[in-house]
Amino acid sequence: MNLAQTLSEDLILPVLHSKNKVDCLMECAEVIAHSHPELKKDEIADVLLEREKLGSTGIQDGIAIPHGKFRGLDHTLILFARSLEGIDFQAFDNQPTYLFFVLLAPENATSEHLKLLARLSRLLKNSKLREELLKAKDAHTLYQILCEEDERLP
Amino acid sequence: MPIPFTKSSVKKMNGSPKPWVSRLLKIQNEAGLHTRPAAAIVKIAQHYPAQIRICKKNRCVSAKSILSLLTLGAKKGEKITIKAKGIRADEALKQLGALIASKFYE
Repeated sequence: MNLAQTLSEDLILPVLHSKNKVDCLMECAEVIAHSHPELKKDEIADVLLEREKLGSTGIQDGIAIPHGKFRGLDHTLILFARSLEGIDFQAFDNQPTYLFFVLLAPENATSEHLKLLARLSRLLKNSKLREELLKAKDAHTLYQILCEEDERLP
Repeated sequence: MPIPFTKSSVKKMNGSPKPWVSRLLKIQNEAGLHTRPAAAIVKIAQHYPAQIRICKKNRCVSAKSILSLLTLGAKKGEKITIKAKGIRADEALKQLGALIASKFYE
């Protein structure tokens, strides 16, 4: 699965201002709604927060993958957001989270979601990539780093 | 007369190295091995000092890393092998097998 095809530069947030989980997801929802006016910010935030209630999507190594299914979407959206100070996302490894990959998928997209998770995880296992993502200066550079890495990996 | 400590006698005292024990299982829950099931596996696997790996189509990853488990992209109906080696390996296998058979309580 090609990650680069799903990413878009207007869904990259290089600086998250939020300091906690709820604000963080609201901030992400706002960016998505701004880029996709047919989607409502509050509805996006609700979907993401509901999923968090089942267990934090903060996994390890400073990464979180907040996600949810959204009626009316015909393809998956990915937002990449970065917190430079780190947010307590109640991650599985109890460490702060810096890199957020928010996935919004159409309702019956289980198989696509799994493939996307697999592809993303494969990229993010590379600690050098994670370091580069933390150091990159702007949305354009972040976008390039992610696309290049996606192309590099078979 | 004292028994000499030869190499082979010492090895016999320590016991031969334990092999990997493994179990083949089918993913049964609708959504496959996504974030929540992966976390549930790690939560159990981390309890054991044994080496534990999960394999899909000859690709094996550590069962103690959520990110690694997610790279498998294992979906409903696919078969995975759990293998464990070391202290309480059998117990780990049993507990993880039960988790997967329960469809991760989803």
